[in-house]
Amino acid sequence: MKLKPPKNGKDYVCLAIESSCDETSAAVVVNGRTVLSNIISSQIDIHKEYGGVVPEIASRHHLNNINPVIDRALEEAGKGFEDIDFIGVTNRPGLIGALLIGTATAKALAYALDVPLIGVHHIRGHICANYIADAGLEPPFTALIVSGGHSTLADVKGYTDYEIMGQTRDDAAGEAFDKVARVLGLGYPGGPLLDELAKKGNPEAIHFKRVYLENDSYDFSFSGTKTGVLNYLNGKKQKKEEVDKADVAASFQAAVVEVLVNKTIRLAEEKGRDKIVLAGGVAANSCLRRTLEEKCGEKGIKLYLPPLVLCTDNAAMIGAAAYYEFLEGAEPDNMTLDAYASAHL
Amino acid sequence: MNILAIETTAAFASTAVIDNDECVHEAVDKGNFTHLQRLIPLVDQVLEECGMKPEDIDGIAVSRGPGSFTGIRIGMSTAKALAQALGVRVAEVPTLKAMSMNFWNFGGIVCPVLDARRSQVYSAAYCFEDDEQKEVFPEGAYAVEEVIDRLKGKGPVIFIGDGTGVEDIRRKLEEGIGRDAFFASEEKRIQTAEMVAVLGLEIHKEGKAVSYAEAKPEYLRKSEAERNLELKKCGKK
Repeated sequence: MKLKPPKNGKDYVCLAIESSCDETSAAVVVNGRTVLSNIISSQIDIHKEYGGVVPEIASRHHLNNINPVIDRALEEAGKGFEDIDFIGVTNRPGLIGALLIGTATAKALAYALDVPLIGVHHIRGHICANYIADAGLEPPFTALIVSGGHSTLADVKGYTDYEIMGQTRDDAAGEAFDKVARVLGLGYPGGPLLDELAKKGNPEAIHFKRVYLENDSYDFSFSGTKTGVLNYLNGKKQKKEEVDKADVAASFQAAVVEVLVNKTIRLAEEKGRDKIVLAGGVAANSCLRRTLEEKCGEKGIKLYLPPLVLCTDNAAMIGAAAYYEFLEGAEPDNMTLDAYASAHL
Repeated sequence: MNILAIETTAAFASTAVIDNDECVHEAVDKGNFTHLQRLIPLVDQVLEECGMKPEDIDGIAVSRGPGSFTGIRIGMSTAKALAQALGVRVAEVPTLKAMSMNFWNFGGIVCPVLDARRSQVYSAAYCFEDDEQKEVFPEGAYAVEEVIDRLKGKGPVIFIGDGTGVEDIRRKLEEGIGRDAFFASEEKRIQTAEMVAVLGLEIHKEGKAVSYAEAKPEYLRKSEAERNLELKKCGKK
Protein backbone atom coordinates (compact mmCIF):
# COMPACT_ATOMS: atom_id res chain seq x y z
CA MET A 1 0.00 0.00 0.00
CA LYS A 2 1.28 3.44 -0.94
CA LEU A 3 1.37 6.20 1.58
CA LYS A 4 -0.21 9.54 0.91
CA PRO A 5 2.47 12.23 0.96
CA PRO A 6 2.05 14.82 3.69
CA LYS A 7 -0.43 17.51 2.69
CA ASN A 8 1.14 20.39 0.73
CA GLY A 9 4.47 18.70 1.15
CA LYS A 10 4.42 19.83 4.79
CA ASP A 11 6.06 17.77 7.49
CA TYR A 12 3.90 16.50 10.34
CA VAL A 13 5.51 17.05 13.72
CA CYS A 14 4.18 14.85 16.51
CA LEU A 15 4.73 15.29 20.23
CA ALA A 16 4.39 11.76 21.63
CA ILE A 17 3.91 10.68 25.24
CA GLU A 18 4.24 7.24 26.85
CA SER A 19 3.62 6.36 30.52
CA SER A 20 2.03 2.89 30.48
CA CYS A 21 4.36 1.18 32.96
CA ASP A 22 7.53 2.44 34.67
CA GLU A 23 9.05 4.61 31.94
CA THR A 24 8.04 8.24 31.55
CA SER A 25 8.84 9.20 27.98
CA ALA A 26 8.25 12.03 25.52
CA ALA A 27 9.46 12.33 21.93
CA VAL A 28 9.26 14.57 18.92
CA VAL A 29 8.82 12.57 15.71
CA VAL A 30 8.53 13.93 12.17
CA ASN A 31 6.37 12.05 9.64
CA GLY A 32 6.37 8.91 11.78
CA ARG A 33 9.94 7.94 10.87
CA THR A 34 12.37 10.68 11.88
CA VAL A 35 13.04 10.95 15.61
CA LEU A 36 14.21 14.42 16.68
CA SER A 37 14.23 13.47 20.37
CA ASN A 38 13.23 10.51 22.53
CA ILE A 39 13.60 11.22 26.25
CA ILE A 40 13.09 8.22 28.56
CA SER A 41 13.03 8.66 32.32
CA SER A 42 13.22 5.18 33.82
CA GLN A 43 12.03 4.32 37.33
CA ILE A 44 13.82 1.00 37.34
CA ASP A 45 16.05 1.87 40.32
CA ILE A 46 13.02 2.94 42.34
CA HIS A 47 11.10 -0.30 41.78
CA LYS A 48 14.16 -2.51 42.20
CA GLU A 49 13.74 -2.37 45.97
CA TYR A 50 10.27 -3.89 45.66
CA GLY A 51 11.22 -6.65 43.22
CA GLY A 52 8.74 -5.39 40.62
CA VAL A 53 6.81 -2.36 39.44
CA VAL A 54 4.55 -0.94 42.17
CA PRO A 55 1.64 0.77 40.39
CA GLU A 56 1.00 3.49 43.00
CA ILE A 57 4.67 4.45 43.16
CA ALA A 58 4.94 4.41 39.35
CA SER A 59 1.94 6.74 39.08
CA ARG A 60 3.40 9.19 41.59
CA HIS A 61 6.72 9.34 39.76
CA HIS A 62 5.08 9.77 36.36
CA LEU A 63 3.25 12.83 37.70
CA ASN A 64 6.50 14.36 38.99
CA ASN A 65 8.50 13.57 35.85
CA ILE A 66 6.25 14.05 32.88
CA ASN A 67 6.36 17.83 32.36
CA PRO A 68 10.16 18.17 32.58
CA VAL A 69 10.49 15.14 30.26
CA ILE A 70 8.26 16.91 27.71
CA ASP A 71 10.35 20.09 28.06
CA ARG A 72 13.54 18.16 27.41
CA ALA A 73 12.02 16.40 24.38
CA LEU A 74 11.04 19.76 22.85
CA GLU A 75 14.37 21.34 23.72
CA GLU A 76 16.44 18.51 22.27
CA ALA A 77 14.32 18.55 19.12
CA GLY A 78 14.74 22.31 18.82
CA LYS A 79 10.97 22.71 18.71
CA GLY A 80 8.40 24.72 20.64
CA PHE A 81 4.76 23.95 21.32
CA GLU A 82 3.87 26.16 18.33
CA ASP A 83 5.63 23.68 16.00
CA ILE A 84 3.56 20.69 17.12
CA ASP A 85 0.95 19.51 14.58
CA PHE A 86 -0.62 16.79 16.70
CA ILE A 87 -0.15 14.85 19.92
CA GLY A 88 0.04 11.06 20.24
CA VAL A 89 -0.31 9.29 23.58
CA THR A 90 -0.41 5.72 24.84
CA ASN A 91 -3.90 5.35 26.30
CA ARG A 92 -4.13 1.53 26.30
CA PRO A 93 -3.22 -1.10 27.56
CA GLY A 94 -1.07 -0.83 30.69
CA LEU A 95 -1.15 0.07 34.37
CA ILE A 96 -4.26 2.23 34.56
CA GLY A 97 -2.87 4.71 37.11
CA ALA A 98 0.27 5.12 35.03
CA LEU A 99 -1.59 5.47 31.71
CA LEU A 100 -3.82 8.21 33.00
CA ILE A 101 -0.92 10.55 33.79
CA GLY A 102 0.19 10.53 30.15
CA THR A 103 -3.37 10.61 28.87
CA ALA A 104 -4.50 13.51 31.10
CA THR A 105 -1.35 15.44 30.23
CA ALA A 106 -1.77 14.84 26.49
CA LYS A 107 -5.43 15.86 26.60
CA ALA A 108 -4.64 19.10 28.43
CA LEU A 109 -1.81 19.96 26.02
CA ALA A 110 -3.91 19.16 22.93
CA TYR A 111 -6.78 21.23 24.29
CA ALA A 112 -4.63 24.23 25.21
CA LEU A 113 -2.65 24.11 21.95
CA ASP A 114 -5.75 23.34 19.86
CA VAL A 115 -4.15 20.44 17.97
CA PRO A 116 -5.49 16.92 17.19
CA LEU A 117 -5.01 14.15 19.74
CA ILE A 118 -4.41 10.49 18.83
CA GLY A 119 -4.74 7.75 21.46
CA VAL A 120 -2.32 4.92 20.66
CA HIS A 121 -2.33 1.22 21.52
CA HIS A 122 0.96 0.44 23.29
CA ILE A 123 1.58 -2.76 21.28
CA ARG A 124 0.97 -0.98 17.99
CA GLY A 125 3.65 1.43 19.17
CA HIS A 126 6.10 -1.42 19.73
CA ILE A 127 5.44 -2.73 16.21
CA CYS A 128 5.83 0.76 14.72
CA ALA A 129 9.23 1.15 16.43
CA ASN A 130 10.48 -0.82 13.43
CA TYR A 131 9.42 1.93 10.99
CA ILE A 132 11.84 4.21 12.82
CA ALA A 133 14.61 1.64 12.84
CA ASP A 134 14.28 0.82 9.14
CA ALA A 135 13.12 3.53 6.74
CA GLY A 136 12.35 0.97 4.04
CA LEU A 137 10.04 -1.26 6.06
CA GLU A 138 6.44 -1.39 4.87
CA PRO A 139 3.59 -3.73 5.77
CA PRO A 140 2.47 -6.48 5.34
CA PHE A 141 4.59 -8.56 7.72
CA THR A 142 4.44 -10.91 10.69
CA ALA A 143 5.12 -9.32 14.09
CA LEU A 144 6.19 -10.97 17.34
CA ILE A 145 5.78 -8.67 20.34
CA VAL A 146 7.36 -9.94 23.54
CA SER A 147 7.74 -7.99 26.78
CA GLY A 148 7.15 -8.19 30.50
CA GLY A 149 3.45 -7.66 29.93
CA HIS A 150 2.82 -9.08 26.47
CA SER A 151 3.47 -12.07 24.20
CA THR A 152 1.59 -11.44 20.99
CA LEU A 153 1.78 -12.75 17.43
CA ALA A 154 0.16 -10.45 14.89
CA ASP A 155 -0.40 -10.39 11.17
CA VAL A 156 0.23 -6.78 10.18
CA LYS A 157 -1.71 -6.17 6.96
CA GLY A 158 -1.31 -2.41 6.78
CA TYR A 159 -0.10 0.57 8.79
CA THR A 160 -3.29 0.59 10.83
CA ASP A 161 -4.64 -2.89 10.04
CA TYR A 162 -3.57 -5.52 12.55
CA GLU A 163 -4.88 -8.99 13.28
CA ILE A 164 -3.91 -10.74 16.49
CA MET A 165 -3.16 -14.38 15.73
CA GLY A 166 -1.94 -15.50 19.13
CA GLN A 167 -1.41 -14.35 22.69
CA THR A 168 -0.18 -15.81 25.92
CA ARG A 169 -2.75 -17.70 27.95
CA ASP A 170 -0.86 -17.21 31.21
CA ASP A 171 2.52 -15.56 31.81
CA ALA A 172 3.99 -13.14 29.30
CA ALA A 173 7.42 -14.26 28.08
CA GLY A 174 9.22 -11.50 29.94
CA GLU A 175 7.22 -12.23 33.08
CA ALA A 176 8.33 -15.90 32.93
CA PHE A 177 11.95 -14.76 32.47
CA ASP A 178 11.65 -12.43 35.47
CA LYS A 179 10.10 -15.12 37.68
CA VAL A 180 12.72 -17.74 36.83
CA ALA A 181 15.44 -15.14 37.39
CA ARG A 182 13.96 -14.46 40.81
CA VAL A 183 14.00 -18.13 41.89
CA LEU A 184 17.59 -18.34 40.66
CA GLY A 185 18.33 -15.32 42.87
CA LEU A 186 19.53 -13.15 39.99
CA GLY A 187 17.91 -9.85 41.04
CA TYR A 188 15.70 -7.35 39.27
CA PRO A 189 14.92 -6.86 36.45
CA GLY A 190 15.54 -10.54 35.88
CA GLY A 191 15.23 -10.89 32.10
CA PRO A 192 18.54 -9.25 31.08
CA LEU A 193 20.40 -10.92 33.99
CA LEU A 194 19.03 -14.33 32.98
CA ASP A 195 20.15 -13.68 29.40
CA GLU A 196 23.68 -12.85 30.59
CA LEU A 197 23.92 -15.97 32.77
CA ALA A 198 22.51 -18.21 30.02
CA LYS A 199 25.44 -17.31 27.78
CA LYS A 200 27.67 -19.31 30.15
CA GLY A 201 25.36 -22.35 30.28
CA ASN A 202 24.51 -25.35 28.11
CA PRO A 203 21.02 -24.95 26.58
CA GLU A 204 20.74 -28.72 26.15
CA ALA A 205 21.74 -29.64 29.70
CA ILE A 206 18.17 -29.95 30.96
CA HIS A 207 15.09 -30.55 28.85
CA PHE A 208 12.25 -28.27 29.94
CA LYS A 209 8.82 -28.79 28.44
CA ARG A 210 7.96 -26.89 25.24
CA VAL A 211 4.27 -26.00 25.31
CA TYR A 212 2.75 -25.74 21.83
CA LEU A 213 -0.94 -26.08 22.85
CA GLU A 214 -3.31 -27.20 20.04
CA ASN A 215 -1.76 -28.02 16.66
CA ASP A 216 -3.10 -24.96 14.87
CA SER A 217 -2.81 -22.56 17.80
CA TYR A 218 -0.66 -19.46 17.74
CA ASP A 219 -1.23 -18.86 21.44
CA PHE A 220 1.55 -19.21 24.00
CA SER A 221 1.77 -20.71 27.46
CA PHE A 222 4.91 -20.29 29.53
CA SER A 223 3.73 -21.03 33.04
CA GLY A 224 4.17 -24.81 32.57
CA THR A 225 7.77 -24.34 31.47
CA LYS A 226 8.35 -22.01 34.40
CA THR A 227 6.86 -24.57 36.81
CA GLY A 228 9.16 -27.17 35.24
CA VAL A 229 12.11 -25.06 36.35
CA LEU A 230 10.71 -24.70 39.87
CA ASN A 231 10.17 -28.47 40.13
CA TYR A 232 13.67 -29.16 38.84
CA LEU A 233 15.19 -26.78 41.41
CA ASN A 234 13.10 -28.27 44.25
CA GLY A 235 14.10 -31.80 43.24
CA LYS A 236 17.76 -30.84 43.28
CA LYS A 237 17.35 -29.16 46.67
CA GLN A 238 15.70 -32.25 48.18
CA LYS A 239 18.48 -34.48 46.86
CA LYS A 240 20.95 -31.89 48.16
CA GLU A 241 22.58 -31.71 44.74
CA GLU A 242 24.41 -28.74 43.30
CA VAL A 243 22.55 -26.69 40.69
CA ASP A 244 24.33 -25.24 37.69
CA LYS A 245 22.38 -21.99 37.44
CA ALA A 246 23.85 -21.12 34.06
CA ASP A 247 22.63 -24.43 32.61
CA VAL A 248 19.16 -23.87 34.10
CA ALA A 249 19.01 -20.36 32.65
CA ALA A 250 20.23 -21.48 29.22
CA SER A 251 17.91 -24.51 29.07
CA PHE A 252 14.85 -22.54 30.21
CA GLN A 253 15.59 -19.75 27.77
CA ALA A 254 16.04 -22.27 24.94
CA ALA A 255 12.63 -23.83 25.68
CA VAL A 256 10.82 -20.48 25.62
CA VAL A 257 12.66 -19.17 22.58
CA GLU A 258 12.07 -22.36 20.58
CA VAL A 259 8.30 -22.03 20.92
CA LEU A 260 8.32 -18.29 20.18
CA VAL A 261 10.43 -18.72 17.07
CA ASN A 262 8.68 -21.79 15.65
CA LYS A 263 5.22 -20.26 15.97
CA THR A 264 6.40 -16.99 14.43
CA ILE A 265 7.94 -18.74 11.43
CA ARG A 266 4.84 -20.91 10.99
CA LEU A 267 2.60 -17.82 10.96
CA ALA A 268 4.77 -16.03 8.38
CA GLU A 269 4.68 -19.11 6.14
CA GLU A 270 0.93 -19.58 6.51
CA LYS A 271 0.25 -15.94 5.63
CA GLY A 272 2.90 -15.88 2.91
CA ARG A 273 4.78 -13.02 4.58
CA ASP A 274 8.42 -12.51 3.62
CA LYS A 275 9.17 -10.19 6.56
CA ILE A 276 9.20 -10.76 10.30
CA VAL A 277 9.36 -7.90 12.78
CA LEU A 278 10.41 -8.32 16.41
CA ALA A 279 9.27 -5.85 19.06
CA GLY A 280 8.99 -5.29 22.81
CA GLY A 281 11.40 -5.43 25.74
CA VAL A 282 12.24 -9.14 25.34
CA ALA A 283 13.32 -8.36 21.76
CA ALA A 284 16.58 -7.41 23.49
CA ASN A 285 17.12 -11.07 24.45
CA SER A 286 20.24 -12.30 22.66
CA CYS A 287 19.10 -15.92 22.35
CA LEU A 288 15.79 -14.87 20.77
CA ARG A 289 17.54 -12.52 18.33
CA ARG A 290 20.11 -15.13 17.34
CA THR A 291 17.63 -17.99 16.92
CA LEU A 292 15.24 -15.88 14.86
CA GLU A 293 18.12 -14.73 12.68
CA GLU A 294 19.17 -18.33 12.00
CA LYS A 295 15.65 -19.56 11.24
CA CYS A 296 14.77 -16.57 9.06
CA GLY A 297 18.03 -17.07 7.19
CA GLU A 298 17.14 -20.70 6.49
CA LYS A 299 13.66 -19.77 5.27
CA GLY A 300 14.64 -16.73 3.24
CA ILE A 301 12.58 -14.41 5.41
CA LYS A 302 13.86 -10.88 6.08
CA LEU A 303 14.09 -10.15 9.80
CA TYR A 304 13.77 -6.70 11.36
CA LEU A 305 15.28 -6.23 14.82
CA PRO A 306 14.85 -2.80 16.37
CA PRO A 307 17.82 -1.27 18.22
CA LEU A 308 17.66 -1.79 21.97
CA VAL A 309 16.55 1.75 22.83
CA LEU A 310 13.46 1.23 20.67
CA CYS A 311 12.73 -2.17 22.29
CA THR A 312 12.08 -0.67 25.71
CA ASP A 313 9.01 1.45 26.33
CA ASN A 314 9.60 4.81 24.64
CA ALA A 315 7.54 7.64 23.20
CA ALA A 316 9.17 7.72 19.75
CA MET A 317 7.42 4.47 18.82
CA ILE A 318 4.12 6.03 19.93
CA GLY A 319 4.86 8.99 17.64
CA ALA A 320 5.36 6.57 14.73
CA ALA A 321 2.09 4.73 15.41
CA ALA A 322 0.17 7.98 15.97
CA TYR A 323 1.42 9.34 12.65
CA TYR A 324 0.02 6.44 10.66
CA GLU A 325 -3.30 6.54 12.52
CA PHE A 326 -3.42 10.28 11.79
CA LEU A 327 -2.39 9.96 8.14
CA GLU A 328 -4.75 7.12 7.35
CA GLY A 329 -7.66 9.29 8.24
CA ALA A 330 -8.44 8.08 11.73
CA GLU A 331 -10.69 10.68 13.33
CA PRO A 332 -8.63 12.42 15.98
CA ASP A 333 -9.82 11.44 19.43
CA ASN A 334 -12.07 13.99 20.98
CA MET A 335 -11.57 15.39 24.43
CA THR A 336 -13.48 12.53 26.09
CA LEU A 337 -10.55 10.15 25.39
CA ASP A 338 -10.14 7.67 28.25
CA ALA A 339 -7.41 5.21 29.32
CA TYR A 340 -7.86 1.42 29.39
CA ALA A 341 -5.93 -1.22 31.33
CA SER A 342 -6.67 -3.81 28.64
CA ALA A 343 -7.60 -3.38 24.98
CA HIS A 344 -7.75 -5.19 21.65
CA LEU A 345 -4.84 -4.49 19.30
CA MET B 1 -6.94 38.01 36.74
CA ASN B 2 -8.87 35.04 35.28
CA ILE B 3 -8.25 31.83 37.23
CA LEU B 4 -9.33 28.37 36.03
CA ALA B 5 -9.94 26.01 38.96
CA ILE B 6 -10.01 22.20 38.92
CA GLU B 7 -11.40 19.87 41.56
CA THR B 8 -11.15 16.08 41.04
CA THR B 9 -10.28 14.75 44.51
CA ALA B 10 -13.71 13.18 45.18
CA ALA B 11 -16.33 11.31 43.18
CA PHE B 12 -17.49 14.34 41.15
CA ALA B 13 -15.21 16.36 38.92
CA SER B 14 -15.80 20.09 38.61
CA THR B 15 -14.24 23.19 37.13
CA ALA B 16 -14.69 26.88 37.84
CA VAL B 17 -13.51 30.22 36.55
CA ILE B 18 -13.15 33.28 38.72
CA ASP B 19 -12.92 36.34 36.50
CA ASN B 20 -11.65 39.89 36.80
CA ASP B 21 -14.83 40.95 38.58
CA GLU B 22 -14.37 38.04 41.03
CA CYS B 23 -17.51 36.47 39.62
CA VAL B 24 -17.40 32.66 39.75
CA HIS B 25 -18.77 30.29 37.09
CA GLU B 26 -18.83 26.60 37.83
CA ALA B 27 -19.37 23.34 35.87
CA VAL B 28 -20.01 20.19 37.89
CA ASP B 29 -20.13 16.63 36.58
CA LYS B 30 -22.26 14.06 38.34
CA GLY B 31 -20.54 11.06 36.80
CA ASN B 32 -18.93 8.84 39.38
CA PHE B 33 -15.13 8.83 38.97
CA THR B 34 -15.13 9.54 35.23
CA HIS B 35 -12.62 12.34 35.74
CA LEU B 36 -10.17 11.47 32.97
CA GLN B 37 -12.94 11.43 30.38
CA ARG B 38 -14.89 14.39 31.67
CA LEU B 39 -12.37 16.92 32.96
CA ILE B 40 -11.31 18.65 29.73
CA PRO B 41 -14.92 18.84 28.47
CA LEU B 42 -15.77 20.47 31.83
CA VAL B 43 -12.94 22.96 31.36
CA ASP B 44 -14.27 23.73 27.89
CA GLN B 45 -17.81 24.08 29.23
CA VAL B 46 -16.93 26.57 31.97
CA LEU B 47 -14.74 28.65 29.64
CA GLU B 48 -17.52 28.79 27.08
CA GLU B 49 -19.98 29.94 29.74
CA CYS B 50 -17.63 32.82 30.52
CA GLY B 51 -17.04 33.54 26.85
CA MET B 52 -13.34 32.77 27.26
CA LYS B 53 -10.72 30.84 25.35
CA PRO B 54 -7.87 28.88 26.98
CA GLU B 55 -5.44 31.71 26.24
CA ASP B 56 -7.58 34.11 28.32
CA ILE B 57 -6.59 32.16 31.46
CA ASP B 58 -4.05 34.00 33.62
CA GLY B 59 -3.52 31.23 36.15
CA ILE B 60 -4.57 27.72 37.21
CA ALA B 61 -5.82 26.63 40.63
CA VAL B 62 -5.96 22.95 41.43
CA SER B 63 -7.27 21.08 44.42
CA ARG B 64 -3.99 19.40 45.41
CA GLY B 65 -5.33 16.84 47.88
CA PRO B 66 -5.89 14.98 50.07
CA GLY B 67 -8.53 12.73 48.52
CA SER B 68 -8.65 9.92 46.00
CA PHE B 69 -5.03 9.32 44.84
CA THR B 70 -6.16 8.74 41.26
CA GLY B 71 -8.49 11.72 41.34
CA ILE B 72 -5.75 14.00 42.68
CA ARG B 73 -3.40 12.89 39.91
CA ILE B 74 -5.89 13.48 37.09
CA GLY B 75 -6.54 17.01 38.33
CA MET B 76 -2.88 17.75 39.01
CA SER B 77 -1.55 16.38 35.70
CA THR B 78 -4.22 18.29 33.80
CA ALA B 79 -3.44 21.49 35.71
CA LYS B 80 0.32 21.12 35.18
CA ALA B 81 -0.03 20.45 31.44
CA LEU B 82 -2.48 23.34 30.93
CA ALA B 83 -0.07 25.65 32.76
CA GLN B 84 2.87 24.33 30.73
CA ALA B 85 1.11 24.92 27.41
CA LEU B 86 -0.42 28.28 28.37
CA GLY B 87 2.65 29.65 30.14
CA VAL B 88 0.85 30.40 33.43
CA ARG B 89 1.42 29.47 37.08
CA VAL B 90 -0.38 26.98 39.33
CA ALA B 91 -1.91 27.55 42.77
CA GLU B 92 -1.74 24.34 44.81
CA VAL B 93 -4.98 24.66 46.74
CA PRO B 94 -5.34 22.62 49.95
CA THR B 95 -8.53 20.62 49.36
CA LEU B 96 -9.77 20.55 52.96
CA LYS B 97 -9.21 24.26 53.49
CA ALA B 98 -11.05 25.18 50.29
CA MET B 99 -14.06 22.95 50.91
CA SER B 100 -14.41 24.30 54.45
CA MET B 101 -14.89 27.83 53.08
CA ASN B 102 -18.36 26.85 51.86
CA PHE B 103 -19.42 26.80 55.53
CA TRP B 104 -17.76 30.04 56.70
CA ASN B 105 -21.05 31.26 58.19
CA PHE B 106 -21.81 28.10 60.16
CA GLY B 107 -20.89 29.78 63.45
CA GLY B 108 -18.65 27.04 64.81
CA ILE B 109 -15.91 24.67 63.73
CA VAL B 110 -15.92 23.27 60.19
CA CYS B 111 -14.36 19.81 59.96
CA PRO B 112 -13.95 18.02 56.63
CA VAL B 113 -13.60 14.24 56.89
CA LEU B 114 -12.68 12.27 53.76
CA ASP B 115 -12.82 8.48 53.88
CA ALA B 116 -9.18 7.34 53.84
CA ARG B 117 -9.99 3.64 54.43
CA ARG B 118 -7.96 1.55 56.91
CA SER B 119 -10.04 3.13 59.72
CA GLN B 120 -8.71 6.60 58.99
CA VAL B 121 -9.99 9.90 57.64
CA TYR B 122 -8.17 12.75 55.96
CA SER B 123 -9.19 15.64 58.12
CA ALA B 124 -8.47 19.16 59.37
CA ALA B 125 -10.60 21.70 61.19
CA TYR B 126 -11.12 25.43 60.77
CA CYS B 127 -13.03 28.25 62.38
CA PHE B 128 -13.99 31.56 60.79
CA GLU B 129 -13.50 34.73 62.82
CA ASP B 130 -13.57 38.30 61.50
CA ASP B 131 -13.43 37.12 57.90
CA GLU B 132 -10.39 35.03 58.68
CA GLN B 133 -10.06 31.27 58.36
CA LYS B 134 -8.14 29.86 61.33
CA GLU B 135 -6.82 26.35 61.70
CA VAL B 136 -8.12 24.36 64.69
CA PHE B 137 -5.94 21.37 63.81
CA PRO B 138 -3.79 20.79 60.73
CA GLU B 139 -4.56 18.45 57.84
CA GLY B 140 -3.52 14.85 58.28
CA ALA B 141 -4.59 11.21 58.15
CA TYR B 142 -6.26 10.57 61.51
CA ALA B 143 -8.21 7.84 63.23
CA VAL B 144 -11.79 9.05 63.75
CA GLU B 145 -11.16 8.86 67.51
CA GLU B 146 -8.28 11.35 67.18
CA VAL B 147 -10.54 13.80 65.35
CA ILE B 148 -13.11 13.45 68.13
CA ASP B 149 -10.46 14.05 70.83
CA ARG B 150 -9.34 17.24 69.14
CA LEU B 151 -12.88 18.65 68.78
CA LYS B 152 -14.63 17.51 71.94
CA GLY B 153 -15.87 20.33 74.15
CA LYS B 154 -15.03 23.01 71.56
CA GLY B 155 -18.63 23.84 70.72
CA PRO B 156 -20.65 23.08 67.61
CA VAL B 157 -18.89 21.31 64.74
CA ILE B 158 -20.20 20.77 61.24
CA PHE B 159 -18.75 17.73 59.52
CA ILE B 160 -18.47 17.79 55.73
CA GLY B 161 -16.92 15.57 53.08
CA ASP B 162 -17.60 12.07 51.75
CA GLY B 163 -16.57 10.51 55.09
CA THR B 164 -19.82 11.74 56.62
CA GLY B 165 -21.64 9.41 54.25
CA VAL B 166 -19.79 6.37 55.59
CA GLU B 167 -21.93 4.75 58.25
CA ASP B 168 -19.15 3.72 60.61
CA ILE B 169 -17.44 7.12 60.55
CA ARG B 170 -20.67 9.04 60.98
CA ARG B 171 -21.82 6.90 63.90
CA LYS B 172 -18.53 7.41 65.73
CA LEU B 173 -18.67 11.18 65.19
CA GLU B 174 -22.28 11.35 66.37
CA GLU B 175 -21.47 9.36 69.49
CA GLY B 176 -18.18 11.13 70.18
CA ILE B 177 -19.28 14.75 69.72
CA GLY B 178 -22.89 14.27 70.79
CA ARG B 179 -25.30 17.18 70.42
CA ASP B 180 -22.58 19.51 69.11
CA ALA B 181 -22.18 17.40 65.95
CA PHE B 182 -23.83 18.69 62.77
CA PHE B 183 -23.61 17.16 59.30
CA ALA B 184 -23.76 18.91 55.94
CA SER B 185 -26.50 17.78 53.58
CA GLU B 186 -25.62 15.21 50.96
CA GLU B 187 -25.58 17.70 48.08
CA LYS B 188 -23.39 20.21 49.92
CA ARG B 189 -20.84 17.98 51.61
CA ILE B 190 -18.74 17.13 48.50
CA GLN B 191 -15.93 19.47 47.45
CA THR B 192 -16.38 21.44 44.21
CA ALA B 193 -14.19 23.83 42.23
CA GLU B 194 -15.89 27.06 43.29
CA MET B 195 -13.91 27.52 46.52
CA VAL B 196 -10.78 26.18 44.82
CA ALA B 197 -11.13 29.17 42.50
CA VAL B 198 -11.64 31.64 45.37
CA LEU B 199 -8.70 30.34 47.42
CA GLY B 200 -6.63 29.87 44.26
CA LEU B 201 -7.08 33.53 43.33
CA GLU B 202 -5.81 34.53 46.80
CA ILE B 203 -2.74 32.31 46.37
CA HIS B 204 -2.03 33.85 42.97
CA LYS B 205 -2.48 37.38 44.33
CA GLU B 206 -0.10 36.65 47.20
CA GLY B 207 2.49 35.53 44.64
CA LYS B 208 2.54 32.01 46.09
CA ALA B 209 1.54 30.20 42.90
CA VAL B 210 4.28 27.90 41.54
CA SER B 211 5.52 26.80 38.12
CA TYR B 212 4.02 23.80 36.32
CA ALA B 213 7.16 21.80 37.09
CA GLU B 214 7.03 22.58 40.82
CA ALA B 215 3.29 21.99 41.35
CA LYS B 216 2.79 18.81 43.33
CA PRO B 217 0.02 16.87 45.01
CA GLU B 218 -0.45 16.33 48.75
CA TYR B 219 -1.53 12.73 49.34
CA LEU B 220 -0.99 12.85 53.14
CA ARG B 221 -0.06 9.20 52.94
CA LYS B 222 2.70 7.08 51.50
CA SER B 223 1.90 4.18 49.20
CA GLU B 224 1.16 0.85 50.82
CA ALA B 225 4.32 -0.69 49.31
CA GLU B 226 6.50 2.06 50.82
CA ARG B 227 4.92 1.64 54.24
CA ASN B 228 5.36 -2.14 54.13
CA LEU B 229 8.99 -1.78 53.09
CA GLU B 230 9.64 0.64 55.97
CA LEU B 231 8.00 -1.76 58.42
CA LYS B 232 10.17 -4.60 57.09
CA LYS B 233 13.32 -2.49 57.44
CA CYS B 234 12.40 -1.46 60.98
CA GLY B 235 11.80 -5.09 61.89
CA LYS B 236 15.24 -6.06 60.68
CA LYS B 237 17.07 -3.41 62.70
